[in-house]
Amino acid sequence: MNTVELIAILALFASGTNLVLGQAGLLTFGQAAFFGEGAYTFGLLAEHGISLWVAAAAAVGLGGVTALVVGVVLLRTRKLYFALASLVVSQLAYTFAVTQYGLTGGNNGLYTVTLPAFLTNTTESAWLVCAVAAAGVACLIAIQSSRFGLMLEAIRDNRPRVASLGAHPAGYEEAAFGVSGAFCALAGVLQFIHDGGVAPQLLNWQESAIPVLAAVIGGMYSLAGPVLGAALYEIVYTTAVSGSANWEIIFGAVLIAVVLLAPYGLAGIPGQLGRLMRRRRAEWVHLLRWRSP
Amino acid sequence: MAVLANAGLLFLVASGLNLVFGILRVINVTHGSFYMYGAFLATTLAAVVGGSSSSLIALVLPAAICIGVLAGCVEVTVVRPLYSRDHLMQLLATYGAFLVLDDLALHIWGPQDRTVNFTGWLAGSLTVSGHQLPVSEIFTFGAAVVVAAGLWLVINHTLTGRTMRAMAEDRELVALMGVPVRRLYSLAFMASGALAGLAGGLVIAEGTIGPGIDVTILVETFVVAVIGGLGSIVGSGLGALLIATLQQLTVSFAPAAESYVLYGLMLLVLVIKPTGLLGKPEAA
Repeated sequence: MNTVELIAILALFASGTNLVLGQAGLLTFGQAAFFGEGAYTFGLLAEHGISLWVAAAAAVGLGGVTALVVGVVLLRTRKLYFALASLVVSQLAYTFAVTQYGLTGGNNGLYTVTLPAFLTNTTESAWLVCAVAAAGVACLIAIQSSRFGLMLEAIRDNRPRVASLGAHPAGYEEAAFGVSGAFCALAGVLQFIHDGGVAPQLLNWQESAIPVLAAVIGGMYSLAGPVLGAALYEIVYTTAVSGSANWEIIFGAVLIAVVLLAPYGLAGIPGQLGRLMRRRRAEWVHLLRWRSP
Repeated sequence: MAVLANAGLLFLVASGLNLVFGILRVINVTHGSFYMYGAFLATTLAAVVGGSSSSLIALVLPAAICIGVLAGCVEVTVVRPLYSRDHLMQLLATYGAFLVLDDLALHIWGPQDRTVNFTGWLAGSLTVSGHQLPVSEIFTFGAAVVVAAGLWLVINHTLTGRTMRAMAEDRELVALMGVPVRRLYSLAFMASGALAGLAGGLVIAEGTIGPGIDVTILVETFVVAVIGGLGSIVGSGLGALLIATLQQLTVSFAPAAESYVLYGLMLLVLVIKPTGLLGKPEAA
């Protein structure tokens, strides 16, 4: 059940990231900033006795607003500059969490919050976390299949053309970044409930890389991709760590293999095979026709 | 002098990153690993030959060349199949290689920190008009200046350099002229790895090293390279000087603010000029 819970959280985090990454085509390495922000906001508000639902809503809202503000700065840059700038945003958030000892507890993290019984009971909280994560993923899928999502794809594929048709690409990208930030913050809230606390490592760029990896491994041009990738990531991680194997070596190798062999991720493999088969069949048909007369 | 030595190190690493980006259009995450391997290899060699300054300096170059060869292996296996694919895939493939190399280093050299105690001239210091200047720092800065001059000469005044610049402009056209593009790509990648390895070899003269320096240097290098402008060698020099000066200033006056200043400056530069100080806007 624990693995299922982790998969659900990462699936939400990766789907939220993929709205920006796969659908809008912006290489972000900074989503952990919003993920961690959500966790910290929720934890700090809960610590001060504010109702959990209000705390969660505030965390999500704040994640979205921060993402909008950060987006204004980041979206001035393009491509690899965007990637590196978003990485730095993540590092900036991490530095903030480490150095503001009075607020965040610094490197010790925030583990002193007493959550109500239904959130510390592992079975009940796991169901709740999974349900919320599933609802979040469903929302994201709805957003991604909406007109808005299709516009993002159009902008990704041909930005000047969309602009010349009278739409405003920057506005759509900005909105996508904000929505993504809100969902990443929601994932952060769930992560807080799962861990019973939060540490600054949740904000740095290596954490930011995880949803990107999950999305790419699963297939970032498909709706189910991030969910598939999240499942694979957590399963491999749990098996590797419990077998005390060399997690990074295994994972690095998997990543290289996926990038080299299956560029559309796991979700893209059937399509790849289909194309391969069709090509083979076409070759056979061609050969037979050539020999028959 | 500490500023200049630090700037020299940052320049060595960042210029390698920019060399590869300028010619291959690839952001190489394994660059941090090359730096770490350079440093670890140098400590191992130092354990073999002892801490005598002259013998160690004689070993830094071969170590850098070994790292260059390692970089060549990475290029052939991981990066080469991806030249025609988009930036994200290249970035992620090198990130995968980075993870593998990171864990491998932990297996080879273990998790402990390492320090090399020098004997001989490198450990001493010169007194110039009342200021104590450590020789190792002067040496590091000198090495960076030599490398900068060498890069400038090679890139601007040799046929190889001119071909590489032409490749950055139009790869296909250059390939049509009969230039072995792939071999030159490998060469650039190996040179870049050797620069990172050299910086790693030099840093052991400055203090303690340990696992995790690959991540630290990588982020710093990104900041330096982006501030200067990706792909610009002169830009990486400028960025290195800027960052080293700022680091020194914040360490003296506001130690808690060091990272803020580093990251804040980078974001500020990007807001004002989204392609870094000396970077050219990328064509499509």
